[in-house]
Amino acid sequence: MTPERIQIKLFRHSETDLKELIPTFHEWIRDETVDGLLIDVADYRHVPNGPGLLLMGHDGDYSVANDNGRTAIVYKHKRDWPSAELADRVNFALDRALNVASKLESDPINQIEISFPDRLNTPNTAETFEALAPTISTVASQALNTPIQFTHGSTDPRHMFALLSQPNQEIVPQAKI
Amino acid sequence: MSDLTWKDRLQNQIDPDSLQEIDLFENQITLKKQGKLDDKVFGETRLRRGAYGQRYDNGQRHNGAESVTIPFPSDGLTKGTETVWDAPGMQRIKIPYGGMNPEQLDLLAQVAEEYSDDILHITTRQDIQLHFVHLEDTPDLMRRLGSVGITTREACGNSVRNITGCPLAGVCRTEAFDVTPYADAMTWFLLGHDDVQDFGRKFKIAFSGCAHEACGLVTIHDLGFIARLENEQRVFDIFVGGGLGTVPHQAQLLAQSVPEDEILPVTQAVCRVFARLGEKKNRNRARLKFLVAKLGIDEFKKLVQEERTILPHDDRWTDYLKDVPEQVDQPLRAPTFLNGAPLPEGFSDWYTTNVYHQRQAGYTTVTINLPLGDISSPQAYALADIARKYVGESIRTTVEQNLVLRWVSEKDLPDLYRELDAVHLAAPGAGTVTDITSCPGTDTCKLGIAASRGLSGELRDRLIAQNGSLHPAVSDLKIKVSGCFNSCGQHHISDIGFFGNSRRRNNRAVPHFQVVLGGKWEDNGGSYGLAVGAVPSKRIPDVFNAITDRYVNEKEAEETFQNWIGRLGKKEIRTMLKPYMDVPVYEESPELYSDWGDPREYTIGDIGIGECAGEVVSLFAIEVARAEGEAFDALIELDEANYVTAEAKAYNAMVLAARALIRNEFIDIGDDPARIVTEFKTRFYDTKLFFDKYAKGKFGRYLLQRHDSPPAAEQVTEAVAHRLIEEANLFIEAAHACDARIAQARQNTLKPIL
Ligand code: SF4
Repeated sequence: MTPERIQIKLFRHSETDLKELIPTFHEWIRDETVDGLLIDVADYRHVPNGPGLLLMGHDGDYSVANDNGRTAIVYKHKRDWPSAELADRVNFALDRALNVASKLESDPINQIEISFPDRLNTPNTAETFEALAPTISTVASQALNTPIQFTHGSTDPRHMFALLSQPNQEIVPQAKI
Repeated sequence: MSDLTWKDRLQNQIDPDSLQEIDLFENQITLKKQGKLDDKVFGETRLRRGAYGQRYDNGQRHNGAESVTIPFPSDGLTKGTETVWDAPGMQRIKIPYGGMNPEQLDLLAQVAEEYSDDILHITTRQDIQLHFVHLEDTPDLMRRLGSVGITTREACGNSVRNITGCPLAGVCRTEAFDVTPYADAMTWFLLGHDDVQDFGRKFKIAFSGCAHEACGLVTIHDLGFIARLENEQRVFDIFVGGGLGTVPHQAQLLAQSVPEDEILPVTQAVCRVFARLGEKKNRNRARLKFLVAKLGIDEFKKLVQEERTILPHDDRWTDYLKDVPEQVDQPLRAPTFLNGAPLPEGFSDWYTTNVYHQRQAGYTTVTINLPLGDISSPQAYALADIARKYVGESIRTTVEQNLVLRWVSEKDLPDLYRELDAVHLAAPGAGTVTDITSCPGTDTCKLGIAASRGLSGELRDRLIAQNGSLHPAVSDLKIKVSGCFNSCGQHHISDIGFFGNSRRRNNRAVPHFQVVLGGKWEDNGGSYGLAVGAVPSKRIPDVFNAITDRYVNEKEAEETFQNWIGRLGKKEIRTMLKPYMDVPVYEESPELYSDWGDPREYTIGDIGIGECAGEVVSLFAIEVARAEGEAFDALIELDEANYVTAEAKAYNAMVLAARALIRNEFIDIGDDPARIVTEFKTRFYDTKLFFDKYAKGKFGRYLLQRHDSPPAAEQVTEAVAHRLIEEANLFIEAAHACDARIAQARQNTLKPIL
């Protein structure tokens, strides 16, 4: 089965002032600046290394968080996929994540994490890694126009299955997005 | 990977009854989608599974400029009255007496990642809430929780809610005995019991190991149990009819020295009386506190006793008692003591506020101080591991929205601190002024009027920034914040409490908080504070500073905040607040017209912005100020123990507020209270113009009831006067809201002409 929820995390090497983003997120809802049905802003700045500032949507959520000195720009797609194929889904989620990253002025993206908050379909096992990693690597390399190799993220079976690119690889330079 | 569903995968790991109920709920979801279930029936079914509504679930949201329809794809499908199918909701999860183990915490973290926003939110009743959950995800979410022994059944709706209990039960130095097994037995005895299915409103139960501490908050509950030892026998004093909400009631003693084997049947008898005689039609009078007040405690006792004598015997009343002596936590590690080894930086502050020495020598209970009650999923995994390593099973949530780890061997504290600190869970200040309790407010609650979490976060940040320079008397204060008068943040039982409301200036709404002073946290929420004035939300931090600075300067040696407030008197407090209460026009201070953490111009519902920018003080504003003054005088009379005068002034305050509304339409109404009440009833109550969207006619009835049945002077006790003052304040708030609605309706009518 194909994962029903896919999360893309794009890392940048410095932190972001999340407070300044609050009005931006409200404007994005009002002006429908990013794709998806947007509902509200949720503020978790008080939780260290937590989800940060979220732009909650019906089909997917956007967020920007500070994560151990870095910024994580996140898109999690939750429902109403345009396709049932894994490759299409990853491509779709990546596209939304990159689109939102392009709207936030900051440093280049230097690491990417693709995770699957869907333990039913993608348990955090070596088998899942074997089965999914090649397709995802191909999709990501094409979408980002640069070869991306993924390693298996945390192998703790409680954690969601995640793929992590090499650190400090300049994946998407600022100029490009 | 396979095509298995969670239902297939977990069916052997869930108790069959729970499994069947969840399947049934899933079927009801399907039937509702097919249009085969009534909205009201499905709404209550959903609530009884803990799946609650959330802000904007009517499909409307004000975007700062106008109210717009959120284009949910559900195409008219609803999941309850005025509740759009696809709108995200809140899932409440029962954690009986706050107790859970690491496996459960892990699972909670997982479902938060998959179905929610990666956050577990601890509530003031020891539940856990997930927000932004889609209804169609809830059956699987419930199955997964069920696989580790957690239920959401009857977490919301007209049912027995999570049963709370002291987080220190079993390790407390001052408790009579450990109430955990009793709270546990009560939970499972009442869950789904036939006698608790026909209530008009929710029913909350709490257990406390002693009378003097706060942990159980028995006096604010419908039914509360305080443990006592009598001739070395375990007994409980049972209290009924407490509750906060709009008008708080202190619980009253139902029965003293009830033996342990009687608590389940007595509870069952109380439930039967409540189900039989409690109000069913009018939600606003349906809590047990109103039935107890209506019947009087003696009559209520008599009915419970009669019911108890005819209850058919049930073995479950006492079966659990044989296991009680064994139900004691087993520590994972041997008791030890700090041995003088070097301590990590920051340890001392944390040790002072977050570590409690258990009655078992060599063991401590550690509080994880969670900002606004939130913990992220990655933090929860880390905490589960830490618990496994140091304490085994023993994690609890608290009514102060924190978590505790019990049975930490003392010598482990430095290592534990380091590990907690590595995942940002070692914030000091548990139980101090920085550890602010807050309900969700306008962040997610559909009833929220002001941003309680926004305000709490702001106060917390400012107080933490002052750490080290805060006077000890201020450090010890309790702050609690609710987003509206419903008191989920328990503002009545704090030293300094706030609840959200709004005011209008020149057709613009301004978020405000009522300041509530002098409540008592100890003695299980021993007394309730009183509202002393509404202040614009953005000025609350300044008000807090003004009050606490003055307290520090003026307090006598050992004087508590509550006593100082009593000594200062409400009149002086009002004088102190007055400079903060006046609202400048938008053009002068636009920042006051939005709330904390939300840059949108503030609105209540769809109240818009007027076209006329001229400085006009409405007739209503002038008139209602008189009502507010009268209500305030009532407070002063109450302070001075002039209860009859206080009660009369509270009534008069309502009459004046009603008059303020009437004078907009009928300038010559005059001053005769009888005429004012008649006109109010005809023009505002019978027409429902005065009705609140959720509370309906509740606030209007405060005036009508008092007018129709004034108490005789000898009946006016302190409690009676106190209650009428609370009611008068709510009536005045409702008059403000009514005036705002009428103004908005007028504006909408004028728009096409303009
Ligand atoms: S107090 Fe009001 S705003 Fe806060 S959770 Fe309760 S109902 Fe909602």
